Amino acid sequence: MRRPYFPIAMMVTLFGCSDSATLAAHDEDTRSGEMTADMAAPSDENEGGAADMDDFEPEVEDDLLTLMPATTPQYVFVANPDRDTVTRITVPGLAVITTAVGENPVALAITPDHQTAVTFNMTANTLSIIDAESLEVQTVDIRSGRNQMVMSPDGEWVICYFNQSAQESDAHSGGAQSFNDISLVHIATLTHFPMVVGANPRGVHFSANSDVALVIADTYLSKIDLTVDEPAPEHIQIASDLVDPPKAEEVVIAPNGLTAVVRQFGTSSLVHVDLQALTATPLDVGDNPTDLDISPDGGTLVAVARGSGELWVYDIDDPFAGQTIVDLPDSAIFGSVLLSPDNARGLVYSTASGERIIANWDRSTNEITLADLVKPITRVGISPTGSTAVVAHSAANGIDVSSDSPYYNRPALSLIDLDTFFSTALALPAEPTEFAHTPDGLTGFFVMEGQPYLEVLHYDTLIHDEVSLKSMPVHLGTMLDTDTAFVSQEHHLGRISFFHPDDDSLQTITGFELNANIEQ
Amino acid sequence: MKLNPLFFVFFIGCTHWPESQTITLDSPLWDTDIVTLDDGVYAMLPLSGKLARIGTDDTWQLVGLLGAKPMSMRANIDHTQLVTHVEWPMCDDDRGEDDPPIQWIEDCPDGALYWDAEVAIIDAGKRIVTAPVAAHINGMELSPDGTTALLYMNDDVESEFVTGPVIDLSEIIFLDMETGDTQTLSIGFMPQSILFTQDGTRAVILSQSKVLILDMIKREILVSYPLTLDADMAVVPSSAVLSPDDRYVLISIEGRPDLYKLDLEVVSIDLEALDGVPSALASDPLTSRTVIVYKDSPTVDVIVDHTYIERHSIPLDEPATDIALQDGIAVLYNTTDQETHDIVKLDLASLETTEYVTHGAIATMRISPEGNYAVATIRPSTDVDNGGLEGFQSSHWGLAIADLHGNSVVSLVLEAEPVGVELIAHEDKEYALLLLDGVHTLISIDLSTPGSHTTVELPSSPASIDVNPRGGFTIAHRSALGQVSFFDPSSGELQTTSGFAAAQFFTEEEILPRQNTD
Repeated sequence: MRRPYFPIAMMVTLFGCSDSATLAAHDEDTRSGEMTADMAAPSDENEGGAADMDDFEPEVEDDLLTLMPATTPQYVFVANPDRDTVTRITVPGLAVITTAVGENPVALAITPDHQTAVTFNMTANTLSIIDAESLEVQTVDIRSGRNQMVMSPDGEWVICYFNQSAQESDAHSGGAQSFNDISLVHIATLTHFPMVVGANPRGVHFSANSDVALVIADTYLSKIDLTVDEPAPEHIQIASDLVDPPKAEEVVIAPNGLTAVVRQFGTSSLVHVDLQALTATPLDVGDNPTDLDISPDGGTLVAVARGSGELWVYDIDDPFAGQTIVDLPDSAIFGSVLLSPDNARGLVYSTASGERIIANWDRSTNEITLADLVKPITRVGISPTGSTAVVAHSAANGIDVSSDSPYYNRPALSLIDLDTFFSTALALPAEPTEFAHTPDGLTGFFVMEGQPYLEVLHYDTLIHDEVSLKSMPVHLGTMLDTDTAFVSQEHHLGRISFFHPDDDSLQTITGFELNANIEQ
Repeated sequence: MKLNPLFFVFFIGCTHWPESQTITLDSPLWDTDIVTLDDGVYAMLPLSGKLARIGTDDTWQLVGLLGAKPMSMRANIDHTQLVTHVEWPMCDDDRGEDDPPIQWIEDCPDGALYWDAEVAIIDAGKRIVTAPVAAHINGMELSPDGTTALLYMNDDVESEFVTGPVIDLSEIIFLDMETGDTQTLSIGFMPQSILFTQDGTRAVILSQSKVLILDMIKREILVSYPLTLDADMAVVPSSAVLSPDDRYVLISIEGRPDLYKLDLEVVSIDLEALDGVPSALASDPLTSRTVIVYKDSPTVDVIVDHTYIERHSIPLDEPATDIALQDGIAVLYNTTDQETHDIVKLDLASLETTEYVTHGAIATMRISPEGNYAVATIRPSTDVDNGGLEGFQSSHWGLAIADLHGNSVVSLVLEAEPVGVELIAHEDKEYALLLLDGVHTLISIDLSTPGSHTTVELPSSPASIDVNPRGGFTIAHRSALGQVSFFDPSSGELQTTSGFAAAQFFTEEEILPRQNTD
């Protein structure tokens, strides 16, 4: 009998976040909506800038270990855009229930109380508000043509906007189309507040207490007070040149939600925004600031000035006073910083220079220690305990990887013990696509493009193990408050596996998409 | 086993016949696929359209079916009643009331003749319950307690049997075996097979691309499981079992290495990617494990945890296609590959295997009642190059007896092809009763000492053997006019009844038997 051919649909599996995209090292400032991952080369954008530009592209800020989606302690929610459904899988029982949502659910988030899941149905231009227990679905219409969704930390608000750099897109049908409309939706009351923000919004951020939402665009920062009954945007001009403004690459919000700092590519200053007075003031920084981070305790703002090879450290409450400047070694280019969860250290590196050097910055002494890795750095993450750094390297060899190196022309992964800076490296068959770790910080996981494996990293021993999957992985995450990792895989009917590192057991469910068509 | 079409030549000297006449028949007078109940043996007489009930002491009678002809028959669960599907001709007579009623088939106008059908339940030779069931409803499964039958149409039906102004090919009929009451349910597709949970409260209806769960008490659909989301893609179940706890339905699919697991409690579907296309599934209630074998892979999988389909894969020397289960033991064998001669005993608790190598390809295999032996009939080899004793052995049918408590296997050469094998336990010993085609003896082999056997002379060549619920066995013979023997192995006694197949053969029944009855 002829074997039937099953075209394998690329299932986009998205998981609910209990707190939207919380960074391991940035508890106080929730960053939502990537702004920097897909930036174009800066060379043609710096015509009006005053900084000394290097020839390198912008740094890619892609904190490895914060890419993982979170789940509730009980459930994994899987959205399937091909079927317009959401499937809820109970762990550990693996009971599967599927419910229909709007057309093409491309994003899914879960409120921090784990009671509600929200899907952004891009083609339908709706949100589906799903009761996590009963799976009852309520629908809210939003502005058409949006392609990104971000949830506030308290789970009460969702903003949908159009990000020109985003991969998700849908053909717009109809007449006029606006790219800087946003939809603000209050989840509990299903109230929709449409509004207009600055042209070409690049990201949406919420303050830690969810009182304020910021929509960052190149020319304006739009502030939305979420504590009022009728939220409306207040626009703050952040670029003096409204004709050809520098690209707003990054914004951080102070924990108290009263101020924000914007980093623009190719400039020589940051923009300090007073969210109460609605004013913007230039803030001194070294040449060509390429990264901004707030310390885990929320008290310090750190900027990397790649052009001048400096770290600028500010008091978040008064950044204009008492800035500390740390000179970075001039033996290498540094453009990114990642602060450890325990506030003790920072890793300084560059993703754009093609160099292999990573610096360990002791924040108490400002001592810088350099280490040479096997290949240029693509992404860096730090385990929750701050004991181990995970560094991803692409196949590109950079400036000084010898052809004799076993990592030549191969992606790689480095594990660094941050106490000793002892490191080990893995040569990989493909680029890692997603990472996750257990809450206790002892175990990490990653999957690779086109490789049917779940890789397990033991942070205490720097040893890795490999678990075979039945098909190619799509998304990876860990169950909230447990050590269970889940990985969705390619299968035309849906497949997800659960890995328990305590006994190395792998449990797989396949075909859960069929559950949507079970009739009772 | 049916007789091959035979040519019968009769020379009759009866006064009402011409002095000499030859009648040639191109089909047998009776069907040797008998059904043995506690009250006798039932045999269909297709040419005369009768049903015979045969007893010992050379007694037999025809079962009154009110002129209907039996199309099929089977025993009920406990072999106390016969369930037969019968049909009779009717004429759609639209003549006036003053016209005499049509009595003969030949008088029925062209196009007005049709056939009606019913299911009749026969008890002690009497038709006690009937239910109108169309002739094209050719499938039947009985609930575990025997009180309800599910009737349906499957792919085997010939299109000529599908008649009527409006036909629902997807209907399933609940038949109350005590009252004959029926209830019809349309399920949207033609069932391929039906399983029941052990308590009989639910039925699992399998078909192409869909599985239904029926509530046998309320007689309604509980759940419908899709096997595919693509209407253009057919997913055809090849076999199915219920897990030992009746919670899961495990379904293998034709041509695909997928095992579907349908959870009947937490209603959901899960697929397990197997390492090959399964050839057989079997679930063992004793060890709560399910066994899977693959025609193209020398592996047996044992599912030890059905919740997560935790499988243990055990390598074999050769692939197996079939599974026999008994008392926590699975016996694996291959009936399709001429070159595969292995019988493998798999202890489902320990997962240890014992291999037995027979001298040829296996045709059938059964486990003895006490589980001490596996008895296989061996097919003769098509390779005619072997000479000597080996060639002699391989060119004949054989019998292999594997000691399941040891590792020995004994191979016997048979004179002819087996037409019936039954295994019995008697006084701490187990025996194989063997019938060979064209051999007028019943052979009894002591499985503990296979080299010795006893024989019982038969009146004629045997066709089949059946278990008698009252003890013993019944043997159908290749006798043109009908012959059935009753064998009591405890006494060695054989009683034969003959001649029933010619009953009413010469009666020209062209009457419309139920035309003018209410």
